[in-house]
Amino acid sequence: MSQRKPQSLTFKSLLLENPFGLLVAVLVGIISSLAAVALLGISGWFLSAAGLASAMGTALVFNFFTPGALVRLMAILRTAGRYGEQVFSHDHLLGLLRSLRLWVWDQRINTPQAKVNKQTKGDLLQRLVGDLDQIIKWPLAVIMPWVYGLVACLGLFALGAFVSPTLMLPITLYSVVQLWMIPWLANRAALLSVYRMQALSVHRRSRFMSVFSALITLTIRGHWQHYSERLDNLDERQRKLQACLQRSTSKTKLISQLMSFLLIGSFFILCLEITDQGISIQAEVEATWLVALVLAALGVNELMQPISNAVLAQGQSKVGLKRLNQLAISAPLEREDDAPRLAPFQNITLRGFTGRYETSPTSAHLPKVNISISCGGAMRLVGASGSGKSTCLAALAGDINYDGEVLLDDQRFIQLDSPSWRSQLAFLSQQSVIFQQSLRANLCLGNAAASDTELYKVLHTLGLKEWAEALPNGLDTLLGAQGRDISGGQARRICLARVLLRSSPVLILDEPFDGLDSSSIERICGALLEGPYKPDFLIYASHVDTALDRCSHTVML
Amino acid sequence: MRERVKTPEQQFLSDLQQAEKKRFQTVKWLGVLIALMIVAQALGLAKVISDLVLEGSFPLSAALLAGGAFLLKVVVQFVREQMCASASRNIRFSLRKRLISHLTRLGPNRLKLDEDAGLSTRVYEQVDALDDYYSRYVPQVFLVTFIPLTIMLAVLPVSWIAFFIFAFTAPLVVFFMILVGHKAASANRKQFKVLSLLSNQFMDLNQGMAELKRLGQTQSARERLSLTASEYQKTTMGVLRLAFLSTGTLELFSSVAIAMVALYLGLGLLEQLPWQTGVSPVSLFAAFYLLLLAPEFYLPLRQLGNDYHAKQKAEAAATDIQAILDMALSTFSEHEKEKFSETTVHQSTPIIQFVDLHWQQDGRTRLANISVSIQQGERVWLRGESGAGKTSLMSILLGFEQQYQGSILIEGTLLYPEDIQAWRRRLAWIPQQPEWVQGTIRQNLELGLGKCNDDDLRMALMKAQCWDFVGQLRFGWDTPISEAGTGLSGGQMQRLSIARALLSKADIWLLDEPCSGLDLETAEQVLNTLDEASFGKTVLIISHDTHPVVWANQQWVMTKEGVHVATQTPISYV
Repeated sequence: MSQRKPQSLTFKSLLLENPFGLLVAVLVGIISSLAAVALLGISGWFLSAAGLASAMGTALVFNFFTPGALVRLMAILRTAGRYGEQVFSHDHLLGLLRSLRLWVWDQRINTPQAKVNKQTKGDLLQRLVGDLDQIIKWPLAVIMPWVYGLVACLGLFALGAFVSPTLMLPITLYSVVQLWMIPWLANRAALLSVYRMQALSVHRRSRFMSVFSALITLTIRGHWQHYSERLDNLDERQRKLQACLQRSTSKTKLISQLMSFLLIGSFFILCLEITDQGISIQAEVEATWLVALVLAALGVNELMQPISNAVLAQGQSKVGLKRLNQLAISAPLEREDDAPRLAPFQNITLRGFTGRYETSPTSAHLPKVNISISCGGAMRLVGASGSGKSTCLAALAGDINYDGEVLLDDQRFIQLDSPSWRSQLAFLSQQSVIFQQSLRANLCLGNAAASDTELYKVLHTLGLKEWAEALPNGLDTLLGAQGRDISGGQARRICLARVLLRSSPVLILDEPFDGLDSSSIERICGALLEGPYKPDFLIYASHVDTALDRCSHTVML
Repeated sequence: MRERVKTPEQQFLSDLQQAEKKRFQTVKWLGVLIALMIVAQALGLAKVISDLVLEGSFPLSAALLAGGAFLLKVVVQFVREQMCASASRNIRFSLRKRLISHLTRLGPNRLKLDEDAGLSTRVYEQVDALDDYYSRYVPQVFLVTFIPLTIMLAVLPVSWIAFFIFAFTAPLVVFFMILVGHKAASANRKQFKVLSLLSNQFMDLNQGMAELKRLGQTQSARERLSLTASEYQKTTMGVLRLAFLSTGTLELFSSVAIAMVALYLGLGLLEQLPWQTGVSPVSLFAAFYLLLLAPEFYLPLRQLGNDYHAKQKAEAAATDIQAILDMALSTFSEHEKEKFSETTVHQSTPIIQFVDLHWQQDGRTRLANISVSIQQGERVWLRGESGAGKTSLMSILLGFEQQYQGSILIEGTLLYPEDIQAWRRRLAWIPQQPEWVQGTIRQNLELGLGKCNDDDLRMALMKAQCWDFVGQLRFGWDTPISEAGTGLSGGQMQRLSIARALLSKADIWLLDEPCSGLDLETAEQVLNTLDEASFGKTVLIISHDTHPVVWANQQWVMTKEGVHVATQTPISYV
């Protein structure tokens, strides 16, 4: 489960994802398709041979048991095979979905924190839902029909060669046209539209998300019409492209059917000759086998139909792969569980340290911070709003890039955006993040092993105990996404509780006391000063004066 | 078909279908043509085969009949497919338009249904999930009765035994299809829920990824994702196994039936039938005719079995789509209108007056009875415990909630639904999380206003005290703000939304906890900016007690019982 996927996705890696599962599905599918073609061929031969035997008066000695049994066997193989193929291939498909989702997650996790917000929500969702859907159906919609088509053509070729060697040429031509020419041509004709359509749906979704996130502003200004019209326009373009694609798929089908028509026509032309009595069959061709061949060709025609749809699917999954690979990152960062442990340190020094947002150049105006803090020490950052306290703390916690130097025990330390540094610290950021999980799960993100007593204790410190006890399901109450059903203050305290539960050596708090009543603040300060959990290094920004300040240096920004 | 009680989903789907009635009618006739071509093709081909086998000759006219029928069938199928696809497109794209306009009118209430991400899945993926239903299932429903009937009639003059085999097996096939299909339908619905849950979970975790990294919990989040995905795989496979089983049953039945026909024909040809040895009841021509038609008889049924999945998918999608359309737009209750139609206009008519305004929803009091008013240019601080109805009042004022009782008078006139547009245009709205779109700062400020001139923009930015930090940005006001607004602090973002309100020239400002996401110090500064910027406007501001609005002329303290008005001496710097 924790096995890493290759860095970028290819069609090959999709095939190799679970080769055994795919192979089983394909084999069962091949058996089923061959059985379907054989069913028609054998029964055609059987009936005509029986008819012939009866006409020639040899009906009594005609062995009808073997072909009869064969017909029944083929019927059962076809049915059972179709069922097995569908079950196996869909199981494979869903397994692919799972591992691709995890692949996306891994890429997201390994993206440096400072760049993580480049993808908008709408865009990511499109990749996650739309593109993944296109990709996972690739084996089922592209590979399998083509393989079945190929196998069926081979079977037809063998039968044709048996009936009359002259038939080998048209069958070869037919196979090449059906399996290569038509897909290639259709691909050329449709690929551009597929690309456009995909690009358009991304655009459409991010526009939807963007416009709806500003719905109220737009509505009260009476200009919603204008914006929703643009959304409609996108939809209209999508509709035209869809029509164009559907037309080309249908056309492909039409051409493919015509090819089958020509094939059967060529059978007759090559096996017949014009004599004085009209048209009759060539002497060396057995009519019963010709009948079998014609019926088998009709069966192959049915098998060729899904290949026309495969063209579209191929284009879509190609685009999907390409888009998904845009999420791929070139160099993996270190992993959480095998990150090297950082040796214990006694001192943290910052020299000329400033945080830097990727997107905004404002950091040039932020002050450079020079501080040093030793084990057991505490430091408070103060300064006017916008003076760079939050930026400095976020950079120290590895959330954003930084300029300057960081020294641990006079050793230069570079990678702040890394699991090994993060494992040493707990950081309360300005934004409160609440997950759509139970209250307990939200708290236990800080310490998975925390007992109920510990949880209630920290909740008590933060003045949340009564509230938590009054919840309908206590600690197991589900919290809404982004903490929609709790107040901002409660969300803040839950985040603080999480951070405290982590009991890490370095504690960085960005405005921890905001929105808290004085008794809670007192309790928190008491807990931090007296333990049991007492951070080795405490760095915080606060505009409220608290008991903590007595034992900490104050740095003015 | 007999009239069945339709579920709401089926009713919904068939209502949508009505819009494309004509096209579906034509599709039906094309289906008739196809059925006839199938019979003609079998007739021609059977003749060709029997002549070839028995006499070694090739009947050209029969071959032309078969070939012609095949070609015509293929072309008609092409046309039919195009028509079905375009009917489905028409239905889906107009439905989508309807959904978007409905969601728009729901305003903030839409979030009761789902997050925007989830709604976008409904509007795009779920609507497209109807495609197979309209382009394949609906046209097939007609064929599934018509083609077998045609074939049965075509078979009757040739062999009555084959006719009876067909006649007896067809209902059995349908019976089994329904039996297995029903179970699959409910399972299918469950599966759709899990799928949207899967997306929501991913987005939720993604949103908090920074926090997960800080806590070193990305691996456990990955395991959570993996677990739900496996869960999804399991449930989906359950659904699919059932669905495939239904098609499997069909296939089996049709196979058995075809085998029965073939056996009968083979034995008949060999004169080995138990009840009539020595006599052949069918000629070779008739035998092939029957054999070629037998698969065609079951084909539409099998096809329908495959497309039955499309129906279930569509019904499941319809449930979600209907949920959007069913979410009632709240409109005025009629009887209230007349009561206040004659309101005398006083000397100093308040700009907003609430008369006995209260709002009950599903037996729950969303807003207790209030009767208060605001004068032009007055600034009101609305405070009170959470759940007292402060946000509900805002929702009512914004016009997104109109099923309240009592009335609202705007400058002495009752607020009618038709006036809501004009009323809204006078409003500026600053919520806790300002609404940002992807684009530049300028585009965001001009959002919904059209192009503004540079001077106005500069004025607004200066008045909202944004000028300094916007000036420092590399591209000034043409700097893009991403969705989350990274790079600018919360206070700065909130100031930008003040600038936006200023730019709109609205005279009534509604603010819902504009400072609650900010630390006290920043909040104070933002409130000071607001004091300056909103001077002379009529303001209703919700603010927590920790962020006192000292410059307000009035305090409305809202409780579950109602509202208590207290005047306060404004401390304003203006």
